[in-house]
Amino acid sequence: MKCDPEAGPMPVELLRDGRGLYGIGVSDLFDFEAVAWSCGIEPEPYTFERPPGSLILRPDGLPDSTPRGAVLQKIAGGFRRGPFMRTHEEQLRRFIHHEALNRAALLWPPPQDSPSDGGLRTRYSRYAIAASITVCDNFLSTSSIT
Amino acid sequence: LIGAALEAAADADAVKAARRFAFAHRENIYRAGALSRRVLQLTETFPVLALAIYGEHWKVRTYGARNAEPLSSHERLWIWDAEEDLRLRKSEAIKLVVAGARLRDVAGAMGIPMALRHIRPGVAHLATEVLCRHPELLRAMPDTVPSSRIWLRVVPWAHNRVSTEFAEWAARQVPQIPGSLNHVGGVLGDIADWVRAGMPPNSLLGERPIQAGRQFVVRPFTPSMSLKTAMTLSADWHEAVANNLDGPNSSFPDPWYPPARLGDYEILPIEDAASLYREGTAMHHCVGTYGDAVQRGDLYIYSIRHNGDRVATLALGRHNGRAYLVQIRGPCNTDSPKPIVATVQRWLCAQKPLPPRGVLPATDAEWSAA
Repeated sequence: MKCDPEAGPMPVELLRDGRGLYGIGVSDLFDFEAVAWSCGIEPEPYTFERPPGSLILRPDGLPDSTPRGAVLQKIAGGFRRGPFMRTHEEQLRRFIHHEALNRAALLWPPPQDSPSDGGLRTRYSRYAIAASITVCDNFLSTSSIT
Repeated sequence: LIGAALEAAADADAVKAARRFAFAHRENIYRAGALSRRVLQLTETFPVLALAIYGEHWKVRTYGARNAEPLSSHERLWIWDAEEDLRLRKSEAIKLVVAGARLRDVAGAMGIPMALRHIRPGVAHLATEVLCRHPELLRAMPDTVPSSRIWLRVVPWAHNRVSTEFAEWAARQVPQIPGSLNHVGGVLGDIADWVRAGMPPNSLLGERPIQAGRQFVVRPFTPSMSLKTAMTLSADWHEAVANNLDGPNSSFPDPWYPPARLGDYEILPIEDAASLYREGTAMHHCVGTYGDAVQRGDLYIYSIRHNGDRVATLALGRHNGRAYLVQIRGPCNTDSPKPIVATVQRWLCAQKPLPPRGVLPATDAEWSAA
């Protein structure tokens, strides 16, 4: 797997222990709530996006984990509807996508529309797609779930 | 990433076995299969049994109108007992699988007949306890997965809706009905209505009997009937019922907009309950149930024809004096093609605002003035 040193830490990564690779999940650095707690800060509820849980695949780790609705295959993401919408892989893909938006300086979740900004959200969405493709293309290609 | 994780960390055989099942059940099967080779053998030889033991879908189900009313304390207790019984059965079956017991014993512990082992993994989640009680129905199940997917959905439905006798007939005839699940379900639903109308009330399972239209059944259903005969008799019965709809509930308010013709398409208002019923029957969707909303003035329904053939049904709603498109559906509730939707939107944009409820202009001149 390629790794771009300038892309920063990956939001979703392969999980390893002393016996090797055992699953896939959100990097500890991106569990912002836990990071805040470790710094002695008590964040307001729902301040951060709740990261999806880890998907444990190695048989010796299965008894200590819970099923998460994984489909155990590569998925086609990027749509709000589809056969993979409720799968665990899609949650991980969405987490990567939101991080890509944030790195492109497009906050996720997006700011709420105000009555005076007429249609900002639509433009934001269009920019978000363009920016996340161009600015974070390399990042997505190295950390895509699909 | 997921490909790398599966390749490096997952048990390849268990992944392969799990991928043969529906998405929702894969992880449970994988988790069980990765921990025991015997489970993998079970998924190969008896997918329904493996799913019943290791999946979450094999639940205690209730029949009839039980869900329509709040459960009594006795019923709650019965369900609790049944759930506890299922838990015990599962744990006993798991012990038997791990111990390498005979397949027949494991199936017996779960109360699943051996005949269900022919159901393939991709449709194993569609097996219900109707098939456990009537495994003989499976003799008529088609071999291919797409066909068996339809068959497994509609045959237990036919059993619960009408009777075991009708389910046996449906099991034989469903493979002959072409089309998608919606179409097959629509055809079978129409036939079921006719069969129910012709049956004595005490012979129906579950739901309350439909007595309406009983007088129009000229020849009641018999299990030896061919599909063609049943469809013909059912169509005749539906037509007779529609022709005899009368009374205050059958008349609709005047159309919001008059009939129109745009290119090859005709947009015709449906002006009485009989026509609405025929539209629903012909198009195999639920528009026939919208009569009350039309009478209240909340909706108006139009039939869209192309060279005289029904191609779509249009429901208009009203908001702030304007009509808007609520939904437009093709046969069997399918989405309508874009040219039809574009034609309807063009027609709707050209219409005048609606007058207040109950005040509809009678002449073209008044329409123009409105």
